[in-house]
Amino acid sequence: MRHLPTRWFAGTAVVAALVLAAGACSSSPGSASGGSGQHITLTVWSYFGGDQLAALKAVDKLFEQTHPNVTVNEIVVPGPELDTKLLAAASTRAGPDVFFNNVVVDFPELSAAGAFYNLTKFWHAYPDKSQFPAAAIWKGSNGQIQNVMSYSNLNGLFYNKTILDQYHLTPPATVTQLESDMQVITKAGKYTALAASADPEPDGAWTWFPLLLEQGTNYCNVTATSAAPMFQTVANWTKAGYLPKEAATWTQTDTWTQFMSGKYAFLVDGNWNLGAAKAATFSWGTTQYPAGADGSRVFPGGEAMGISAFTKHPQAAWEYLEAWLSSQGSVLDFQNSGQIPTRADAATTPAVKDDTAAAPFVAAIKTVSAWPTSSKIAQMQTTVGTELSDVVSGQASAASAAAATATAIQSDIKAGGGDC
Amino acid sequence: MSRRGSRTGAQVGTPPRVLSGIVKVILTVTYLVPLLWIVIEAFKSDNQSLTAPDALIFAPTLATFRTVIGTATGSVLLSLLIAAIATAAVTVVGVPAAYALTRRTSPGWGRVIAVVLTILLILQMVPQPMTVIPLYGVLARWHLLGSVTGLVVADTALVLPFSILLLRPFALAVPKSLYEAAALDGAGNAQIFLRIVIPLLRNGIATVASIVFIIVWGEFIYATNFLTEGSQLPVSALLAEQISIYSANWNRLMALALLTSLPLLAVFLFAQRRLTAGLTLGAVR
Amino acid sequence: MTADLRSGKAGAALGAGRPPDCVPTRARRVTAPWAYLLAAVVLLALVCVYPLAELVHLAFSAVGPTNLIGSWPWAGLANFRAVLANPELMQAVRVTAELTVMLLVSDLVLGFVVASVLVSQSYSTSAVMSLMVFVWALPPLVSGTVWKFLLSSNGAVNSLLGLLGFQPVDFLASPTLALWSVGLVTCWAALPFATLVLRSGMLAVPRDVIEAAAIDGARYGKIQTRIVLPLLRPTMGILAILAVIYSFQGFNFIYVMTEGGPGTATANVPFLAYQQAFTSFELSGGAAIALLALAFVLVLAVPYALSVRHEEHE
Repeated sequence: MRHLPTRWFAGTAVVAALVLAAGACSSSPGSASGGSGQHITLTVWSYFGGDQLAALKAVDKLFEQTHPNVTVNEIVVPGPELDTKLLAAASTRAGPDVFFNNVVVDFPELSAAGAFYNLTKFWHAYPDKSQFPAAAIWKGSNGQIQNVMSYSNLNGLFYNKTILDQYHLTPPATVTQLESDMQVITKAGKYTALAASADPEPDGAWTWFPLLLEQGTNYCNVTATSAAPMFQTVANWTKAGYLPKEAATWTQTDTWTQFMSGKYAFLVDGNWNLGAAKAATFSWGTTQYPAGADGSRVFPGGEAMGISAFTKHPQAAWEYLEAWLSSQGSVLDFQNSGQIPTRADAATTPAVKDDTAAAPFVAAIKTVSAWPTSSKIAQMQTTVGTELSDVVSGQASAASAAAATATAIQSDIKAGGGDC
Repeated sequence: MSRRGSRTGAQVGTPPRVLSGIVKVILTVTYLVPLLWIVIEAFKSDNQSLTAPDALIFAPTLATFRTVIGTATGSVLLSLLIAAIATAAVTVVGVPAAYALTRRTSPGWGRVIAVVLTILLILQMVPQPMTVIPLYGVLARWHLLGSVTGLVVADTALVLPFSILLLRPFALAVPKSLYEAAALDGAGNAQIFLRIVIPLLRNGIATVASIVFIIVWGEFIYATNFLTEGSQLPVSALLAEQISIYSANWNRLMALALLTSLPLLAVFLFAQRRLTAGLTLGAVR
Repeated sequence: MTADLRSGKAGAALGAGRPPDCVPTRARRVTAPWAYLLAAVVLLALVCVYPLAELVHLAFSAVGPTNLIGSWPWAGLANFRAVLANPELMQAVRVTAELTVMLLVSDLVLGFVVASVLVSQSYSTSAVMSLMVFVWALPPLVSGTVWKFLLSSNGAVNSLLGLLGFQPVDFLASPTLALWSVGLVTCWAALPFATLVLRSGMLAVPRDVIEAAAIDGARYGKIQTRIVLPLLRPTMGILAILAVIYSFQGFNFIYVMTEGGPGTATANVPFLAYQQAFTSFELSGGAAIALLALAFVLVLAVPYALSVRHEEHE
């Protein structure tokens, strides 16, 4: 007579019960639906941490004060997962109400996936719209306004004033001046001249491409000849010892850590670290990215805000965006995180105007270069970063790196469309 | 001849003292030094960690622990829930499967075993990030999205092939003669499985279950994508949050890592108690 | 060793108390235990088949940054041709091969040695084993970051070298050294797992076998290699295949420590696939690379699956 494996069934039943109980325990997703007057919850997705998260909370509070029937639910998703989560949700026709995205890398993909709500009519009705530069508005391939940037993060030059004073150097305004300063410091041998990221990722491209922007070259018109100066500069500076070979694997977070140790004279980094800089044990200052032939030019980075195409509360979501776009919100953001407001009149408010450390970034935002709207922009930046890393680590010469970059980018431009 | 179960091990069959000592010292150094770095970092304040992460001499503070312990507690409880249920599910489903893959009762079944093993190996080669979007749709269709149940289902399926493959060698250690004896006595599969195999598999189950627990605990791709928004984060996601593209809180990351790994150590030590040497000894004489 | 049918534990397990001369009229031939496999097969079929099918579909379609959601145009073998023509792939294969060899040697050889040392039950072995498992349980984000700091140009290791009078070494900046560094850290992180599994296997070796050999005059080394090692063949086999799978599918330490750099010196095949799919959003390209890696492991897996049939019991 077969003996029923009762213990096994019992075990399975227990596990099944546990699994079902766990399912009952957790709350079901989705924000409370409601018409006007009823309490609604706006879900906001971002990958912010540190100062940026503090800014988010400050603006949320500002918004909730004027909208007592709305609660903002901030969800922080680890950076690399935010896109996947948005795309996964979009594939099931779901999503948050509002989300922040790393616009210079993710916008083409999210836009094409239909993740964005059409903001055009909201924007046209927005009274303050003339305050914002064209670069702050992002349109999808169908001409719809889909993303708005209330702030931007830009690269500039941080310098260790304690070190510069030791060698009687002034903060450089041009690339040539930077080079002569770095020569002095390297010759003295006590400190390292430059901390800058050259890792095989968009970070590396983000750090060095401005050298080309300042010579009139953008991604759209890069050739082996026009790309060479950037790689040659990097090769020279590594060879001369201004830039450590380790920069070939440094992210911008790593370079910040290096600079804060006090052993580096210069750092290419951005305004988002202005708050963190206050912890420095040395005196420091900021200037614009060293100028080239066409002055000082950088790309506008940072996050843009969008409303999810699947939101149930588009009006409330737009009003949330307006909180960020408002003068008060922009200044709150700036005060908490150092992120530079894109609206013109924010630059004249005392909080922004009187911040000497932020001044170079505020000035820089007036002369930013435009990003190409190619769908392959992420791939292009990765190519540049990888070639830069090869040059710094001695695996490629500047000439071959420039040639390889140009070939790859030119084929990406053909494939990626956009305004290139 | 009753040296089985002796706590300090037999005199024979143990490695020479010198070799043993050297190996233990090298292991201790290579595993303790990084752990010490973590501990040191956890005792630094936000500022100290930012300005001098490599410094060995500094004024330690408990501030970081105080900051993170609130969020750490909730995360640990959630991770415990997820990992415990997933481990139980993997054990309940995986142990019989591993047993089935060790019994070549007929040439036909032997072919089935080969095919199933190959499939289990293939499934492990599917990159996990690429499974998120399809699985998101699957879980949504079954209304399991946003719940611990859905996450447990995904995690169980993720770890199951690995667990079955790992349990198989332990199941293979059951001596063939026991099966022959049982067959001659007229026992069916169920009796053999429950009365002979399971008791002899205690080592294997304890080892694989603790490994599975630790793996599920550390899994964060599914945890980030499949859980309810706004609810408590499990440990894996909480740790990932300490690094953003703009900044990194090394001290908080290390403090959290320490606090949230202690329960894992407890689980492992508990499982270790169940490992006994020479388990098959009494069965075959 | 012969099995005594009635007086041993086998008999007791099947129901003690049966009179010794009551033999069943017919010895039972056990049927194939397919029911035991059922739950696993069902779960895996429901959950894992669809993502695998999607992966294959992606690899044969032209999905890029702009058309993940929506219909996927058929691309045939175009992605595979593009991937195979990509010089970065050859480099990635070389990197993967080197990392695989390092991991195999570490898991199997070092794992065996360390498991042998830690198999005896004493306070020191428990302490070392617990330390190793605790460190293994830390996420790669944490342990990888620690090593990144320790190996950096002004990190602890270089400071120690400086004290001893050596020049600082570019552990993570030199292309050749970076690969060794990442490889060694990966092996270091995987060793506790291999040790745990091998140790559990060793604990199942009957003590009287070892004692018999010792009485016959065999020394420790011979006992380990001639007796214990052969008994652990299934375990070593599965560790080996798992190490290969991990090397072709995992890149956690690469991601945390070097991001595939400097240049592409530490970019292995799965990292390349991830970068294609999630940094550049060339999802079809990434899927094609993943499928090629899968096909390669399949080529190794089939002989493995066939060879283990010798291990099975009847």
